[in-house]
Amino acid sequence: MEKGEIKKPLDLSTRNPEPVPIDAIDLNPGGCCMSYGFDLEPLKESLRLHGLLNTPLVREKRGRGFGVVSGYRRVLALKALGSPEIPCRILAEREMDDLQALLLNLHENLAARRFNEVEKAMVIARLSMHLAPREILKTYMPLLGLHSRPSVLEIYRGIENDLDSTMKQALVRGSLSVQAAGMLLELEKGDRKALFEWLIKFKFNMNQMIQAVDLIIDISSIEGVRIARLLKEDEFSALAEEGQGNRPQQARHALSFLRAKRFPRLTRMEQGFRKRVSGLNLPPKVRIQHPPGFESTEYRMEIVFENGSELADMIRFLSSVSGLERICEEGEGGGR
Amino acid sequence: MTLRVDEILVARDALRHPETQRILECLKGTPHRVADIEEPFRGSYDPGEKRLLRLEFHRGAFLKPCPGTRNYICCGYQVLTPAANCPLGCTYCILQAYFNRPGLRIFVNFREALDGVLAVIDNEPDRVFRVGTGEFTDSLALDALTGWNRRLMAAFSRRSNAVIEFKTKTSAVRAMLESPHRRRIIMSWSLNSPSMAAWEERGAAPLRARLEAARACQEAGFVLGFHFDPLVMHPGWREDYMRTLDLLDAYVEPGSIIWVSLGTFRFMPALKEVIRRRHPRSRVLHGEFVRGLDGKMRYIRPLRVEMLRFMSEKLKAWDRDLGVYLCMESDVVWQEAMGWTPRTSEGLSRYLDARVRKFFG
Ligand code: SF4
Repeated sequence: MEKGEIKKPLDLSTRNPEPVPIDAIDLNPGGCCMSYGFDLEPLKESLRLHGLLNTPLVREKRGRGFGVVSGYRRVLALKALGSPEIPCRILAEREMDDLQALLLNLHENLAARRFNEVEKAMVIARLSMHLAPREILKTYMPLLGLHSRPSVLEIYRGIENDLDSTMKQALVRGSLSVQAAGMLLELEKGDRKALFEWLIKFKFNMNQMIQAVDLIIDISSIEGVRIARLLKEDEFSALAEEGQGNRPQQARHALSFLRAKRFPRLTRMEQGFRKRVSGLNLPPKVRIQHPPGFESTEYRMEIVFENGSELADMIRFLSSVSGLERICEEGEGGGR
Repeated sequence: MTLRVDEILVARDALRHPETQRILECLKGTPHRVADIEEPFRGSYDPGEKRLLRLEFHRGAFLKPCPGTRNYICCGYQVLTPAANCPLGCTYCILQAYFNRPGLRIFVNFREALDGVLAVIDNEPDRVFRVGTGEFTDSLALDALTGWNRRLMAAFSRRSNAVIEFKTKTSAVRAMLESPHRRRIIMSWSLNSPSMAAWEERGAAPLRARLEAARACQEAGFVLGFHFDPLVMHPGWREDYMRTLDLLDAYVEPGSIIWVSLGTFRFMPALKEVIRRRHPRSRVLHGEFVRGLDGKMRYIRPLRVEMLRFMSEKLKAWDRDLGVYLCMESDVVWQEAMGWTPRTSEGLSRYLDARVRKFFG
C-alpha cells in the first residue's frame, strides 16, 4: 500500500468495550487529536449524570499502552472524575494505520460538532504528515469549511506548528483572527511574540487588528528597527499603557497614532483639510468630505434638511461663507 | 545574462511541437518532465528557489491592448506575449501577483501565431500599432533560447503601420546588433535610480551596462526608448534619480530617443504580501500609498506630482524633444506634473503615434 492510500473501513460496531487502566492511555494530544480549547465541565456533568454513552476508541501502541483514536475529551473528563479505568473499544496496532485512525476521528467529529480554528489547524497539520498538499486542498479544506488555497493551508499549518499557546487561546476566544495570525506567522518568533503582546492590550476589532499589524510591520521596515525593539520605544509603550483600559476609543486612538506615523504626509493633508473645514463654521447639518486619499478631485458636500425652505436657507448661507473657494486646496496647512 | 533553469516542465500537448523539441535540445542536460497543464506547479523562477521553465501552448490571443483603466490615461499600447514571467526577479514586479502559475513560461506556438498577429496589423493599414513584448516578461532575457526577436524584427521592419518595442533591463543586445533590420524597431531600457537598480533589480544588468548596451544600439542605428517606471520614493530620491539622468546624458544622444515614459510605483494590493514574503528587505513598499481609482495602490497624488514633475523638468532641461509621457496617470497629474495634458487615452495615443511618424515616417 502506498503512502497516503486509505485502507478499507473496519466494522467497529460489533467490537465490545473492555476496561483499560487510565494510566495505560497516552493523554498527550496524539496523531489523531483534534480537540483544543474546550471546556470539560459540561462533559463531566453529563458523565456524572448519565455515565459513558459512547465508548472511546483506542489503539495499542507497540508495548507502550494505548493511544486515543476517538473520544479524547471523554477520556480526559473521566480521568478528571477520578475513574481508574475506562471502557474502550480496542484496536490492535496493525488493524488500522495512522491515517485511517486520523480520518476515522475526523469524520466522527465532523458529524458531531464544529471545529474551532486551532482544531482545524490540528487536523491540517496532522493530515499533512500523511497526505500531499494537493489532496488536502482538494478534499479536506472544503470539509473544514476553508478556502482551498495553498496560502490558507500554510497559515493553518503554521497555527498548529508555530503559534504558542497564548496565541492559540486568543484564536479560540476570537480575539485574534486567522488573518492576523497569518500575518504574525510571517514574523520572526521574538517579533511575533512582542507584537501579539502589544496588540492584546487593546480592544481592536478584527479589522482594526489586521490594520494595526500591517501598519506596525510597515513602520518597522521603514525605520529599519525590529518590531520587538520598536514596540519598546516610549511612544509605543505609553500607548500600550493607556490601552490597558481596553476601551474601543483607545483602540481607535492607537490606530490613528499608527496611521499618522506610517502616513505622515497624508495625515497632515487630512488634518489641514479638517482645519479648513472647521474654520468655515458650517452649520452642524452640513458636512464636507474629501475624496478618499485625495486621489480623485471630487469632494462631497452633504446637507441634511427637513424641508425646502430649510434647504434654501442653507444654500443662501453657504453662498455667503468665505473661504469655501479654498476648501479643496491640498496644502497641509490649516488655511485661515 | 545566462538563463539558469533547474527543471523544465512540458505541457503534454506541447511535447511534440518542433519549438519544444528545439528548446529542449538547447537546454540538453536540464531535467525535464511532461506534465498535465492543470497541474499546479510549485516553485517559481526566483533566486533561491527551484528555477522552473514551462513549455506550453498559449490559448488566448497573442496580441492584446494594454489593460488600461477608465480613470487613468493609457498610452494605447499593444502587448505581444510570447512568454510570461521573467527571470530577472525584480522585487516590485507586478507579475508576481499576476500569474497564478509560477515559473517561467514560453509559449511554443508563438511562431505560427505570429502570422495571425501580423494579419491583424495588416488589416488596419490606417492605424498605428505600437507593439511591445516587454509587458509580461523582459523582451531580451529569453531570446537566446527562443530566437524569436530576429523574426519579429524582420516582420515589423516590413510594415508601415506598426513599430515593435523591445523593452529590457538586460544588456544582451548581441543578437539585435547582428540583425540587419532597424526600421520600425525601438530598443528600450527600463531605468531606475542607482540605488533602486542595485537593491530592487538584482537580477537585472547594472545601470551602466544597460546604458552601454543602449549606446551600442544607438551607434548601430536603432531608435531608443527609455522607461522610468517604477519611480520609487526613497530617501535622497532626487539626487539618486539625477545620477541616472547624468548617466543617461553621458551614454546616449537625445536625438534618437522616441519616447521616455514616467510612472510611479503602483501595485495590486495582493502584491504587498508577496513582496513582504519573497523580498523582506525590499524598500519599495515604504512610500505613502493610497488605493487609486483603479483599485491599485499608488503614492498619494502630491507625492506623485512631485516626482513626475522633477523627472520631467530634468528631462526637459536635457532635451526638449524626448517624447516624455506619463504612464497611467490622471488628467490632473498630467497637468500639474507636465504642464500639459493629452486629456484622454486617445489624446495620448495620438501624441505617441505622431512620435512614431516623426521617427519612422
Ligand atoms: S524585468 Fe520587468 S518583467 Fe522582469 S522581473 Fe523586472 S519588472 Fe518583472
